[in-house]
Amino acid sequence: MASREAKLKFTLMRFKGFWNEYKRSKRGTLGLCIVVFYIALALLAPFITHYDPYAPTLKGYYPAGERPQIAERLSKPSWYKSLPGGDALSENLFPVQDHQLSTLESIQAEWNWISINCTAGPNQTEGEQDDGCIEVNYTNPSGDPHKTGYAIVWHEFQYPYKNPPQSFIIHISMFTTNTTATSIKVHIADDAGTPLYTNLETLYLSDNKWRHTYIRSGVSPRLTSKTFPEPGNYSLQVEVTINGEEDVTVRLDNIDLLIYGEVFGILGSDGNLGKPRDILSTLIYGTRISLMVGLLSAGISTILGLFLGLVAGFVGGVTDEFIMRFADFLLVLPTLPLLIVLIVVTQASIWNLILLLSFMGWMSFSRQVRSMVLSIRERPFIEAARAVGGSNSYIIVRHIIPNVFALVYITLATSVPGAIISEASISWLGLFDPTIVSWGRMLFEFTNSGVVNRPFGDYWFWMIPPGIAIMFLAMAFILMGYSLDEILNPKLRQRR
Amino acid sequence: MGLKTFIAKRIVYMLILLWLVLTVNFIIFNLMPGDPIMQYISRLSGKMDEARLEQIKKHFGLDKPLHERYYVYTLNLLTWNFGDSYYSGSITVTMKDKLSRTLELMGLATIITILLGILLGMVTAYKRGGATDTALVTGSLLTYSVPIFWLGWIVLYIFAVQLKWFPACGLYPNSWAIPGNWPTNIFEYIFGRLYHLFLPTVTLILFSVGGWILLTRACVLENMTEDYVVTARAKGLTERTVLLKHVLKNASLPIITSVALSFAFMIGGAIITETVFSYEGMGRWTWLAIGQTDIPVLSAIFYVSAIAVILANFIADLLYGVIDPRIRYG
Repeated sequence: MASREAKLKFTLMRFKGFWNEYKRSKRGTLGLCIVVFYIALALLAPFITHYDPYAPTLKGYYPAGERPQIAERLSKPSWYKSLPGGDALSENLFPVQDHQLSTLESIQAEWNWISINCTAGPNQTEGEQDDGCIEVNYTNPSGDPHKTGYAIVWHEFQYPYKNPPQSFIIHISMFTTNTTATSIKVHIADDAGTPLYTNLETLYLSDNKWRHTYIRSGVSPRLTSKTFPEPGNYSLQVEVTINGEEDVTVRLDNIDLLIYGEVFGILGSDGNLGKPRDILSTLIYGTRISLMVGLLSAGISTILGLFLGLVAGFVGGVTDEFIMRFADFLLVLPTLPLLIVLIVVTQASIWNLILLLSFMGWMSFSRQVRSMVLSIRERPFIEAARAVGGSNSYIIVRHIIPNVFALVYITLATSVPGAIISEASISWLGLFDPTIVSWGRMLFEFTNSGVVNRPFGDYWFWMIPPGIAIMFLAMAFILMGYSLDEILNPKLRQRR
Repeated sequence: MGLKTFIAKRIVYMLILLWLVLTVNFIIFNLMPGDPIMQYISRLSGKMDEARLEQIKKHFGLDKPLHERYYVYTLNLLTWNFGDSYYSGSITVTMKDKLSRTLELMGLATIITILLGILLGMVTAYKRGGATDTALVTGSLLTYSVPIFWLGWIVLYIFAVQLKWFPACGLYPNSWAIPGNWPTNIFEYIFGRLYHLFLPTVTLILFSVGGWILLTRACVLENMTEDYVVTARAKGLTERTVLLKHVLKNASLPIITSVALSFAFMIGGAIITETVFSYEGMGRWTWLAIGQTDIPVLSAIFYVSAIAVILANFIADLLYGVIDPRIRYG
């Protein structure tokens, strides 16, 4: 027997030989490069994406309240701006962000206020998170019932884009000691201070309690173009009106203005209502799902096929008959409907899907293995191994498996695409795991969003990339399978 | 072993397979959550006439214990008596309708795909290594790797939404639905149907032709290195004759199995393509039945599809012997 070191050297040498030959196959190298690229994307997903497709909301916003979306739905890719005529397109702009800046300095630097019949100014400790806020104090020592106090607090900002945004959201946290005496309005005003937009809905307040309010413009080109008619200076104003005989304190905190432009990210945002996702991040995270489903179910089904094929071929008799009839049975049933029914029975989860895909994918490989085993079993070297006293398990492990192992690599590579496409198809039909976002699910959401009635330019970046991603990943594995086939089946090499 | 023994053996084996299909289907469908009839009954029990509920249960055979239901179910399917759908009456009547539509779509697509695929596969094998070969193989690999619903959407978008050359869905022009407007001219009928079949057929062809090209190419090339090809060439035969008369015949065995199977798989329809184009065939019917947990319909569809595949395998095995005299039945 050779020493361990010598064996290792031999294996290494064989691998080197194999690798030299693989490198020569252009298709195989291309396939391998694509697969490596996808694997890198899958592994690095959290580091190269800016947004989490599972929580498509802005990070760091209001632990107490609902987080706002990252973009308006169906924002176009950012590089539209460098196309001819694209300069006018508006981008996301968050010009007023008070939720991070609640110190005295930041308030004084960014905010202005005027007041009539009351006082307005920063308060360093009484904010919503016990940080700073802006306080309006109204006192009425004379008890005059007709007295009214006004305070206007504003923040100036620049809107640099020619086109109006798709929509905007204003957030404000309010606190008052007297609800009935206080009313608050929010304006977006031009350079001269003339309001261009005023919220129409009443802002509800609670007595002695903080209350969050989102004011949403909605996607209304009429409203946004009236609010932001041209690039220039604007201001966000909060107007507080207090009247009555009692003294009132009003506090304002976390005042934000989020302007959602027409373009966003590298591939835009998708068309989900409510919380649209960043398409690029979703796509990159989807790589994980597809690779996992493809590799795991190909791996499990190949191992299953190898095992059952070996058993059927080597043991023969009733066992063989039983396994092969069961394989026939699975091959006879319509694959996709059966898969769908089984998914419905077992509940849609990614692990169930992987197991079911493996369960439905071993048959043809085990037939191949069985027929190879049947022919190898009769060869003289097996007889020799048996004559020197080799047990069945020894013969299988040392003599039969090495002979069928070339097939394993090929089958591994060629059964991945089928699994990936099946996963996509099943997700596209709506049977996706609700906890994951895969490429198939992206296409399901696309199909069911009804955006197809719009012009193609509005949604191509949602529909095309997932399909391309699936296509290239599936193709890469097929290419690898082809090259492996050529190298490991020397007979086919003469073809070229 | 003679042909008769072979056929007898195969028939026994087919019956065993059929029994397996029936039994496993019964188990799977009984495990499916949310049987609508049972839900309906449990919701209405107490609110509705008990006798009426019993009658409904009895109509679908749900009043008996499981083993009796299994017996009745097996007997019914074996005698081609599919019973009623939970929602839409007699399954046999509906199936006739859906099956004819699916056969029109899938038949057209399958025949064109096979002919085109074998032809192009031969071309690539003949011109192996050249630009045509590279282009066709790359194209095949791409269409082979693409998810069909995505391909369908793109075809739908280009030809139905953008160019408006073909209708996006439906079986025949809407105007035919007006009473008295049904075409009497056979050519007008065929044209109208083909017009509506065009997009799903193109999608199916695009999707599956790649596989056929690759299969034919592989089978032909595998034979190209055989000695008999060298002999044929040495005789001075042209490359074309060698390919068509000698190689294709030997390469046709795996192709025949695939042809037989793809004809059999026609019966089940194309769930995804039919869903994309809202084509009311077997595939879409299956999908709707799964959505509604319409168990009698699903049993019938699975049963019929399985029979088709079993028969196709049998026919392919018989054909092997006709084409290749070396094969002995056994």
